[in-house]
Amino acid sequence: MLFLFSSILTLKLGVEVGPAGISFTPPGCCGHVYLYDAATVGSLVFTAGCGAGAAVWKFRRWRPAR
Amino acid sequence: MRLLLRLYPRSWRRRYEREMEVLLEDLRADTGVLLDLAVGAVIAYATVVRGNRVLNTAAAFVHGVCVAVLLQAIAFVILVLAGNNGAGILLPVSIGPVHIATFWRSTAQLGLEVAPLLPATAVGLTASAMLAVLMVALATFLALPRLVRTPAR
Repeated sequence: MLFLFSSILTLKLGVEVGPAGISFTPPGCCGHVYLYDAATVGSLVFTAGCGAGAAVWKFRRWRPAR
Repeated sequence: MRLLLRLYPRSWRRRYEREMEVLLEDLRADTGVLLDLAVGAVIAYATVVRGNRVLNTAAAFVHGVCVAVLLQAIAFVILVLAGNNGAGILLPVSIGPVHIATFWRSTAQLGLEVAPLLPATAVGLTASAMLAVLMVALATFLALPRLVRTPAR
C-alpha cells in the first residue's frame, strides 16, 4: 500500500527496517518520505494489536445463534 | 446464472440449491438478479461464519487488521498533505526523542530546480482525493459487520 501511494503521489519512499532499509523511487518524484524503525515496529504492533483485540473481543462475546 | 450458486457455502447449497435452481429458471437473467445472487452469497457466508466461533474470531481478526491498515494509510496521506502544505521544507514527526517519520519537499518542488512530474498543488489534490476515498473505505469497513447482519427472527 505504501509503495502504491508513493507511486501515485510521486514520492520517494524510504522505510527503515533494523540495520537495513527499503527505498522506492518512482519516476519524476518530487517529495521524500522516510519512515524510521519506530514507525515500522509501531505499524506492525498496531496492526497485530488491532487484529488480536478484535478477535479476542469477538471470541469472548460470541454466542451460538438461536 | 446457475454458476453463481457455486459461490454459496456448501451447507446452504445442500439445503436450498434445488429450490433456487427452479426459481432461477423462471427468472430473466439481468443485472439485478445477478447482483442479488452475489449479495446473497456474501450474506450466506456471513451467516455460516457467524455460526462458528473459530471462523467468527478469524473474521474479526481480518476485520481488525483491515481497519488498522486503513487508519495507517490515512495517517500516511495526512502526513503527506501536512508536509506538502506546510511552510518549511522539512516536516519531522516524533514522539519525544523517538523519530517516527520525516517528510521533506525537494527543492525542485519549490521551484529551485527542474520542475517535477507532479507540481505541489497536484500532489495536494491527489492526496486529498486519496484521503476522501480512504475515509469512505474506513466507514464502509466499520459498518460492514452491521450491513451483512441478517435481521433477528
